[in-house]
Amino acid sequence: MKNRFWLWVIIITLIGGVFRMVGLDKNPIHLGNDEISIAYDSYSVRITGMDEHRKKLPLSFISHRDYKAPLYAYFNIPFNYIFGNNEYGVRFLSAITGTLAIFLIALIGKELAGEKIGIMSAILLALDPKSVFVSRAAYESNLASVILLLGIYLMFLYKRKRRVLELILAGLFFGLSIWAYHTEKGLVPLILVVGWWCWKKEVKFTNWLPMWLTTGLVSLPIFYDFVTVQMRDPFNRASSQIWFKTAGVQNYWLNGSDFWIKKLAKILAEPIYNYGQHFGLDFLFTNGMDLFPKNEPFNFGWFLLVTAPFLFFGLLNLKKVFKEKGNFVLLWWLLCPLVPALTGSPASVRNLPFIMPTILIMAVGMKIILEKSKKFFWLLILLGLVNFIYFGIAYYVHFPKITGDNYQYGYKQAFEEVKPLVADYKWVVIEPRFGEFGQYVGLPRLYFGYWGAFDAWEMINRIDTSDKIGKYWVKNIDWNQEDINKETIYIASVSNPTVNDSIEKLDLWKTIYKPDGKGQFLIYIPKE
Amino acid sequence: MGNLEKILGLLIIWLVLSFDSLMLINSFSWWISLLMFWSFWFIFKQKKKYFWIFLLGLVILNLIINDLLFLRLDKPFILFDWEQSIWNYPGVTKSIERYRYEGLFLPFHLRNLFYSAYLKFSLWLINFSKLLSPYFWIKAIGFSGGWLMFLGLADFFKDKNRDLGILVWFLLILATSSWRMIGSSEKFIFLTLPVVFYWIYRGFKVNKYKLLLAGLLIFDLLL
Repeated sequence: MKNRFWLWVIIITLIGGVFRMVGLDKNPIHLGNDEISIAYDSYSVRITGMDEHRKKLPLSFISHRDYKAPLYAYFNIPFNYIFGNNEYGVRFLSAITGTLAIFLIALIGKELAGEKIGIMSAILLALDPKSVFVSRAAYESNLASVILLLGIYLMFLYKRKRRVLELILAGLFFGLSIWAYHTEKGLVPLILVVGWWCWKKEVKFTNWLPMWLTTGLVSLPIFYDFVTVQMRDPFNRASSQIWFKTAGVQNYWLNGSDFWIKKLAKILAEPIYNYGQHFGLDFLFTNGMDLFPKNEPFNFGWFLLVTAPFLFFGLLNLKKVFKEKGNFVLLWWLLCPLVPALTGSPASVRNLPFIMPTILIMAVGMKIILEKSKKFFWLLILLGLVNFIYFGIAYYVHFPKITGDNYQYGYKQAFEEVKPLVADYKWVVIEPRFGEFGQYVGLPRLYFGYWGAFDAWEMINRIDTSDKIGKYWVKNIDWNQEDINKETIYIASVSNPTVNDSIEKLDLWKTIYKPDGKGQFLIYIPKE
Repeated sequence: MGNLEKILGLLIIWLVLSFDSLMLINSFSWWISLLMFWSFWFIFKQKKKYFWIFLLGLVILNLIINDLLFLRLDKPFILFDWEQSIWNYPGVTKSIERYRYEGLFLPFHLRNLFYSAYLKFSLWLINFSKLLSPYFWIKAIGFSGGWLMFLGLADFFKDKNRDLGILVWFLLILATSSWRMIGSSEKFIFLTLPVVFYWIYRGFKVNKYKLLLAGLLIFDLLL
């Protein structure tokens, strides 16, 4: 059985790995906003030792004033070196981490309640829609949630083996998870407290100290950086994400007609509603993924719909199967949405750690159903596979077709089109606006830099605040003001075609279309 | 539990429900409200034999409340608003057609299998799961109402003599309300109020955390 356990776990991990790693350059359809920031900073640090804002080995990447947690960009450096500046060069780390999580959850399941639970947990995670989704894009939160999982696994190991080594390693990984994403800054301390509280009869308070100290020491630079950033840049994007600082809440507080006590109560109720949303059946099983717009027939929750009975039976039998560790798993599950609930948009990637305890609880339910009714169990497995096939069709076939704008589609394609022409011209002007009505603002500087329009040193050495880098110039185009000459190529938003004189002077050379067939960018070259 | 406490409990429940749901009674026709209160009595006095007729009546009434079904008895007239229902909502059929087109690489029979009208069922599932979610109910009946309903439900499931007809009633109303694509939450749940009221009352009887309940109630009143 022991060998078979490992064999099964390896097979499941490999299958899960295929869903996570194959075709990373095609789906998601284009590197997204956050992905390109991480990709560029990782590449820039590899080449110059500095991020795009010329900060040497920063503890948080300024990015677009959201001060990204640094670990992903640093851990990505070897992958960027191996794969180069392409989608694999930034997404592979997330994909490999998501795949390793399958192996890790199997170990935790085994540690908690034996090999069966381990294998069931691995199957559930391998086929989990949200896990597949986040593993295929460069999400720091995915890396963080897996590192956190490793920390928790080591905590469980310590409980059984009582060796300080496991404790120190757990502390190290808890600390590293704080380096990897903001949610963990709040979640890790809560988990440490819950760990102590759940096992206070078996493990003395002082025994935990090596883990706490290691976590504290490892995460100290990040907390220090966090405080200095708040002092240096109090209006940074990260701090504006907290719910009471969001525009809607601020506006209600300042201009709402309600009495102030009512306003206060309503504002305080907001994170409670946010918290509750994470446990909504719709969020969990039918449309929490937000893959498609509202009212579309293909939508999925964070977990396959068929796994709903597993969660139900799992919760009912948690203590029976996990024994004294059941309390810890339950509290872990309940705590995960706390920090994301304090932000304005809770149901996003901020709550990825939530996936792991949910999967473990579902594995309990799966085991119970197998014990009670084999027929029902196999029926659910069969339906689960059908459910996953539908997710596969939705995600791998249809999702890339409609998400052009979400992933700033077109910059890579535009760069590839103009690349052969650049030598003959002095300037390539790129408009940051995109979308049907030019309603979005993108980051062409990073996209063009990453794909090789100019090297990292040119970006570093650009004149302060200027968006002129090498031959590339990022700016909004006003055709009536533009001094059109024979030395400039234009990449304009589809919402901004040439007008008046510019029509006479420029030829529409190419149109970049999104996968849904709608235009995204217009490439103009001077007329002969 | 003494009489005074029971009366107090009922008062609290009334208050809790009045935030949103009972206010609604004013906005419905008098005969619908009357029927709803009569149905509350029915929980206790129902005859199993005729329960299915009662449920059928509830479903029809629920469809009328949600503006999906239009009935006129004076000049016989029945109309179902398919366009507002998940079964024929404009855009949904188009979406399925678009998927079918995007899936051209699949053989014809597989496309028929994957992209057919039954996909509309997933929209019903989305609506239904939303109506079954705890946060939906907390928004509808407040934190104190939600807390009592949770306790009442737990007590209901523990009770070996529980009447599953009540649960069927609750689920049936939510299931038929979920047929409507877009509508008001209050109308969706209006006909479940007797059942919710019943669970809240049960919850009140078993609630041991009176201070917590008082706190939640004050919080709800502030909201």
